[in-house]
Amino acid sequence: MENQLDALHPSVTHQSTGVSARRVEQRLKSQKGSAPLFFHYLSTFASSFDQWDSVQTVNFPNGHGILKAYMGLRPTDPDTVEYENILKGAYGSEKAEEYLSRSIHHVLIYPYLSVQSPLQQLRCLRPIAPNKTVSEIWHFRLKGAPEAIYQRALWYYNLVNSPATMINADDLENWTKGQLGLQSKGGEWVSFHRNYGQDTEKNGVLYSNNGTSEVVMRSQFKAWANYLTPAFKAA
Amino acid sequence: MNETVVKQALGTGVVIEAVQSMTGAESIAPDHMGRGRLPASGYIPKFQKIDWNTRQEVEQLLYCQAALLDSKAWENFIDLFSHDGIYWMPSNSSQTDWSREPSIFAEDKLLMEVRMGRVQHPNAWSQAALWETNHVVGNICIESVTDDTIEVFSKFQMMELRRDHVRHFAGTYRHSLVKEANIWKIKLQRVDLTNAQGAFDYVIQAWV
Repeated sequence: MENQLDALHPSVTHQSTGVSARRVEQRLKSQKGSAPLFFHYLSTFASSFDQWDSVQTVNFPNGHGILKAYMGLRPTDPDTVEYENILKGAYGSEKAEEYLSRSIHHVLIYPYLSVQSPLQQLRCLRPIAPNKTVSEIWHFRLKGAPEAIYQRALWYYNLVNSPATMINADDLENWTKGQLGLQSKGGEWVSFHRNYGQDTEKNGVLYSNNGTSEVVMRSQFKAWANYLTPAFKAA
Repeated sequence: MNETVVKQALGTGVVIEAVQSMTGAESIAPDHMGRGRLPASGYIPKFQKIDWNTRQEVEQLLYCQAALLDSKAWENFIDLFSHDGIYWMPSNSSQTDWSREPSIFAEDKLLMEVRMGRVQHPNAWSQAALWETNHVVGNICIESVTDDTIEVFSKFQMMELRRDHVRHFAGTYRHSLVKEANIWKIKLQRVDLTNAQGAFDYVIQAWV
């Protein structure tokens, strides 16, 4: 779940896919003037640390949080314009604008649910045992929206979230290694000190000043410790 | 307890006629569970008489593809496809459209190139762990042949070793071949994985 809001890992963990996708995307752009949007889904993963630092995380009490938008998923192609007009027709201009202008990449409902509203994806992590978790990923068709908007969700699912994903494969490998490491007699502590004390707090909500701040992990593990404490005390 | 008491206690039994002796559930209502009889499912190939030379050519292509996968010769694997070739692994065998339904794999040659570039990158972390595969292709059935197209059905078994764990994948291949510059190329490879709906211990990283 830390992964969902963590802006530091993509360009490291997903470097191989990001770089490879960017190579093909740039070739298509130079040959044909444009490349399908889904190459961009993959290539943005390999953005620079400076770019990731410009993305903000918002961290609420109890581990919930938001990684704000960075993929530029409100283009002005005819399909998007049509969709926006349908939305305005259904909810009025003001409400439609409110929905469309929400800057969201992932919303995390701690500790198990991650909602990616701009691309209609939902991730549910179901714990089975201390060393076993089922990762379930859903994607949705918006009722009444143009087919092209569903295609966008479908291709994000196919490329990023399918059981043959080119993205999640490296997350899973790193988590497996993390698990193996914690089971060994190595260090018992994992440090989440990055940008500690450098986030902005407003009414109990922590806003990162750097997108790559580990405030995300600090906030989630604080919530986790709060959940565990009563159980330890009872024992 | 004497014999008379036992006889009185047991009384007279009944004889269940053979015709009524179905299971209790069946005797109440044949389909009270709301489950109809399952129809035959899955794809049944159309068996044809095919000349030996064509058969041999097709077999060699399939065996070659399996060898390229096991050798991680990704570039040569991609070269087996026609310029507009598609590798498709649907998530469900009832699916019919590779581009409009959720798939496990749905890749044209450009996306295959992205995948190849990724697995070959030195920082593809998932590639750090040792992994090998072993494919066996069989039950080859050529369904139709024209001068420049062939439809072929086959079965595959794939054993994968990753770290110390062995996984087993199996399923059906359906290759649509076309002749491009006088060479048979894959226009569409449909891979129906028997374990498509199972939970995977780890994602699939390369074409199966």
